[in-house]
Amino acid sequence: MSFHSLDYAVFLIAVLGIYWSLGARWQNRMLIPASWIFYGYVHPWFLIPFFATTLIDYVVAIGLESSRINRRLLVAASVCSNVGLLAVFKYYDFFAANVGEALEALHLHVPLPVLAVVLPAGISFYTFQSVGYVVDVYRGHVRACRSLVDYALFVAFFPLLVAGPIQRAGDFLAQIQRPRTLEPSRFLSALYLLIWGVFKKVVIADNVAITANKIFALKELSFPDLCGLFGLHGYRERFGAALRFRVVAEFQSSLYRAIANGLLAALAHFSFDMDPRLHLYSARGFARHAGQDHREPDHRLFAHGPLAWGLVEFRFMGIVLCRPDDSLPRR
Amino acid sequence: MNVARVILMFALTNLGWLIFRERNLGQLAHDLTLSPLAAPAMDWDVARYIGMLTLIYSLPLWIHTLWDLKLRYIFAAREPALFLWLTPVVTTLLFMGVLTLRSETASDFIYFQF
Repeated sequence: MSFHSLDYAVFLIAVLGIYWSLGARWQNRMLIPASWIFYGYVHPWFLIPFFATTLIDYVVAIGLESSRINRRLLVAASVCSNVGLLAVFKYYDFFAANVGEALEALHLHVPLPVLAVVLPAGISFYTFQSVGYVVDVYRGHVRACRSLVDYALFVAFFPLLVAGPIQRAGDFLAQIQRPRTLEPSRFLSALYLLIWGVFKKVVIADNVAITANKIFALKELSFPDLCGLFGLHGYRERFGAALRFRVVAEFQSSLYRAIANGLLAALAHFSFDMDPRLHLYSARGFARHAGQDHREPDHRLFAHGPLAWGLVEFRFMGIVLCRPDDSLPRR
Repeated sequence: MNVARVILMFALTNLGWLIFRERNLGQLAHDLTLSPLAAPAMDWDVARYIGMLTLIYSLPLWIHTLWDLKLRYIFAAREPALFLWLTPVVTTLLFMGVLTLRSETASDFIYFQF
């Protein structure tokens, strides 16, 4: 389940409602199945390596407090099983591909099998958190957790499960074992952090991703390609025409040009990628203001009303600040 | 010293991203042999261009960091009564921002690959 999905919003509201209506004893028990639902929501098989990690480390930690068993062997078994799972799911295909290429370079045709499975989300986070717990028990920093419920929640706690940060057992297990009460001020702070996180993801990061993915998709980066990518060719002439000016020269400095075009593209695309309901001015209205009859207006720019005006003003500022250079070819 | 640490961390982060993004070791090795000093003027233009894009897109993060590290303490000391209302108001505004400014194309969280 993704943190920015509607499913998660419904899930979170339901979990919060049920969680605070339960007594301290049942809160932990309720969070475990909730976390499993969260983790196995799209791919239920993700729970198989997850259960294996939880059970192995729970048993190993208890075994570490028994003096009759070789403690180093137990820790080694835990680390090997955890890192082994991680290596298989995460790195096997990568190494198989690279070893295959290396063998090909030596004219050895050895077909290596690949797993080609979806990487279990957050496998690194819960694996290292669990290994950290075992190592802490081995070093005597924490006592082994005797309650399977508490330990299962320590590994499965859904807000941390797929994104971390990795918690130390000494701190987080102790919190799990203590009763918790609702504090309105802390709840409000948490809500603020939650919404700010969602804002960063769906407003900033997802909008940036559209631009970034276009750039990453280019095989070779070059300035003309970037301009072409964002439809910048001829923008300045359109601005000029819209305000009944003819822009006669390029900027002298490539730095100014780069900054101006960068700002222009970023603003244009940031506004372009936003919700269409924000487009307050119609293309026709903008064109009429410029005294022209655009039968096929450039919706990418002109449909953005106030933001487009901002761009025009910025462009004029650029023209005023930068000396024109007639030696550069006109478009 | 602090500036040096920031620069070092920035360089290490870039290196980490290179390792993370590249799909084979040959391309990674090629990337690491490239020198910005040997880059042609056009590449510098591209770099500035992308730098500006990054700067603009990250403006909300800069503002938030500035607020979180410094301004909110000043505001809380000067206007304690108003400050109490600030968190709910900002939370509401952010929520409205999520509803109205969200991208229609949602990407997966990058940490799903960790």
